[in-house]
Amino acid sequence: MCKAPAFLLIATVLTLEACASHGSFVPTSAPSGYTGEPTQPQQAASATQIKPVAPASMGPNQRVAVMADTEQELLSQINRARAAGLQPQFIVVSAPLRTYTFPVYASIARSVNALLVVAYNSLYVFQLDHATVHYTNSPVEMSYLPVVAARHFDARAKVAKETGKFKFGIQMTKEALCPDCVALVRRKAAIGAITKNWKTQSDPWQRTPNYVAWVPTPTMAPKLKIIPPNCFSGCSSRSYYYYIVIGYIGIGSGGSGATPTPTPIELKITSNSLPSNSIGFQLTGPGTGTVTVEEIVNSRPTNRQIGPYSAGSYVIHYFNNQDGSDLALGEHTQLKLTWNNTYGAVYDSKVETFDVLGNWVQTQYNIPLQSTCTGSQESVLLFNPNGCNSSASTFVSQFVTQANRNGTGEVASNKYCSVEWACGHSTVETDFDFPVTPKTTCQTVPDATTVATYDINNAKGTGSPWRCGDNALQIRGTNPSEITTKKVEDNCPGCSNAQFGKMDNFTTSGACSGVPSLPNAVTVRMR
Amino acid sequence: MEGKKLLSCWRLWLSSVLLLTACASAFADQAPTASTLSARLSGSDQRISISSTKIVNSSGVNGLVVQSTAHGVTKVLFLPSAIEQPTATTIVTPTRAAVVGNIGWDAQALTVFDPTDARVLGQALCRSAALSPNGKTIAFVRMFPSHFVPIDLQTAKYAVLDLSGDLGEAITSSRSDVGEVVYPPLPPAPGAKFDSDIHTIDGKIRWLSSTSFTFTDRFHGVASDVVVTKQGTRWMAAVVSTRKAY
Repeated sequence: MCKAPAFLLIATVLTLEACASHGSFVPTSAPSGYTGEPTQPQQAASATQIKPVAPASMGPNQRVAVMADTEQELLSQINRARAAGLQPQFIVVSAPLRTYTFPVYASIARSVNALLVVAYNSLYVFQLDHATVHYTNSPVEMSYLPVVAARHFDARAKVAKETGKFKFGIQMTKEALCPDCVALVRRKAAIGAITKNWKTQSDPWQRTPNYVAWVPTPTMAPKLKIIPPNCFSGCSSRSYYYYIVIGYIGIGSGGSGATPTPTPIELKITSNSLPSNSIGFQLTGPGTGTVTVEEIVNSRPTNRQIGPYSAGSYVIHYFNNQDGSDLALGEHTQLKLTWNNTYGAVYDSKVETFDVLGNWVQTQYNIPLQSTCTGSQESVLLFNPNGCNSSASTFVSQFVTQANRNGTGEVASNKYCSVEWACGHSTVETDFDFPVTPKTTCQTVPDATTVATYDINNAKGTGSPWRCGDNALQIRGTNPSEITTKKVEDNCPGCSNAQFGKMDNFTTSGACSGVPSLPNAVTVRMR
Repeated sequence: MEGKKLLSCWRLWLSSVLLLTACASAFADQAPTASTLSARLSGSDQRISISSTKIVNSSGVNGLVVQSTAHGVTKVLFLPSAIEQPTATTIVTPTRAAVVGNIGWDAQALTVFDPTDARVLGQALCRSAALSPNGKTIAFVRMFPSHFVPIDLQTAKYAVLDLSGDLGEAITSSRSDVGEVVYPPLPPAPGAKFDSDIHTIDGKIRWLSSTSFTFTDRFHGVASDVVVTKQGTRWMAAVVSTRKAY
C-alpha cells in the first residue's frame, strides 16, 4: 500500500559498539531500505525493520521522534523538527531543580521509590515523588510506567525523600548532568548488570506509536547512534548502529518496498463535566476505531470501550445507569481517552478531582417557624447574648421541642433564637439566646443550596472527606437536571451512624415538623 | 368450642380497632393508622396500645392515641407528646407507662405517663434511646442540637434513667438534662473544632440484659466499646476494647 521512497539513502554501518551481552533482541544486519509492514518502535529496533522514511512523505504536522546522543543535541533536533513544520515527540522528566528531555525511545520505568531512565548511555535515577513525566505535552501517570525491581536505588530514593539529601559519594558528573538524580550510572557494563533482570517492557508511548523516527539532514554528517528502545535487559553490542546520514532517515511505517505514509490523527478532549454527565471529544484524521475511556480511580485504572468512531465531535456520558451504579466508587484523578485508530492510537487526558462516595441517605433540616407550630404555650427564658440579660417569655411547646432539636428557630419573621450557650446555660433546654443570626459551622447563612455532613474540616484522619466549601454532587439520574450541586457548609453529628453515608440538606421550609427526606442520591465530593 | 373462642378473639380485636379509630378521629385532624405498638405488664392483665401516627387535637396540641386496658376495662385516651412516630412503649407499673418515639430523623422523645388517665408525668428529648428488656430502664444519649451551636455542645453524654424510680424534677417538659450520665466520666475539654474532638456514638445502644447495655463511642479517632452494668444501685461503665475509628 505504500510506495517506494523517492530519496537516496546512504546508510553505512560504521561500527558495532560494545555493550552488555544480555539483550533479548540482537539484530544481525544493518538496515538496508524499506522492507516491512508498519511497525512499532520496539519492533523497529530490529535491524531488518529499521526503515528510513522519505522526506517527501513527511507531511506538515507529522509527529516525529527525534533522536540524539545527548540532551543538548536532542533539544537542537526538536527545534529543527519544529522549524521544519513537524511535531517532534519527546519525553520530559520534571524535577525540582530542572527538567530533563529524553527521546521517546528512552526506556523509562519505575520501582517502589525511584523513577529510572535509560538514555544517552546513562541510567538516570530520580526520586519518584520528586519527578513527573510528560510525553511531549501530556502528563504521564506513573502507574502507566513499567515496574522494575531496583532495591538499591529504592533505598537511596527513600533516604533522599526522608532527608532531602540527594548527594551520594563523588558527584561531579552527576551534579553537572543531573543534579536532581539520586544516582547517575554512566558505565555501560554497570547499566547492563543493573538492568539485566528487568523484564523487557515498553513504555505507553512506544506500544502504539503515532510517530515515525526522524533525523534531519546534518550540515556536517554527524555520527548518530540509534538506540533501540526497551533495552532494559541490556543491549547487545550488535544492537547499536552508526550511520552516516545524508537526507532524512525515518524509522517506522512502510509496506514492502513501499513508501510509508505518515497519518496525522488526533484525539482531543474538548470538555469534561460530571455535573453535566458529559465528556466531549474531537477526533481528526482518517480511519476508525474504538475509543477507550479510562479513568484513574483510587490510583487504579478502570476502562471501557466505546465506538467505533471516525473523525468528528462526540459527547458521551460519564455514567449511563439511572442510579449511577456504573460510576466507579472512589477518588477519580485522571480521565484519559484513547482512539484505537487503524493508523495508530492517540490519546488525550485531563485531570479529575472528584470522589464518588456511594448512595447516600439525604435527609433535610430547617429553621422551624413558630407560627407553623402547634401546642400549648411553654415558659422559656430568653438571654441576650450581649451582656446575658435574661427575660421570661413563652413559646409554643412544639416550637420549643423543634428549636431544641435543630439548635435554632424563627420566633417571628426574621427574629431568630438559638439554644442558649453563650451565657453558659446550655443544658437547660428552655433557655434561648435571642435575638441571634443562625449560622452554619462554616459561619455562613444556610440556604437551599447548602448541606450538612459529618465531621467537616477534620484534619485528624477519621476518614471524613469533607471540608467547608466543598461541592457535593447528588446524582439521581443521568440527566443533568437530575444532578444537583450543593455546598458543604454545616456540621451534622447525627450523620455519622451510616459510616459517613448520610447528608442533611438545608431547606428554607419553615415547617415545624414532618420535614421530609429527599430521595437517596449517589453522592460525589467535588473539589 | 375452639371456633367460638377464635371468633370471640377476632370480635374483640375488631372492636378494639374500630374503637381506636373512632376515638382517634374524634381527637384528630389526621386519622391514625391501624398499626399500633403495645405493651403488657408482666403478671397482670394490664396492657396498653399506642397508635403509630401522631395527632393534633382540637386545641392544637400534639399527641398520641392510647388505648389502655386494665382489669377488663378499656379506655381510649389522648396523650400530649412531642413524638411524631412512636417506636417503643412499656408499662412500668400499673400507674406508669412510657413511650419512646421519633421527632425527625435524628432525635427522639420520651414521654412518661399514667395509663389510667393519660396524664403526662414527664417528657424529655434524647438520641439513640433503647428500652431495657424488662422495660424498666431506658439508656440514651442526652439531647444536643443538630446544628447552629458550637461543636462543644454536641458531644455525646450516655445516660440511663430508671423509669420505675422517682422521676422528681429531673424530667420536665422538653428537657435533655435527664437521667444519670454513665459515660464519659468527664466531658471533653472546651474549644472543640472537629467532630473527633467530641464523643460520638457509633451505631446503637444495645441491651445485653436488663441490667447491662453496650455501645461504641468514637473520640479522638478511637472507637471504644463500652459496657455499662448495674452494680447494686449504681451504673458502672467499663471500656472493654478500643480500635482505630474510621
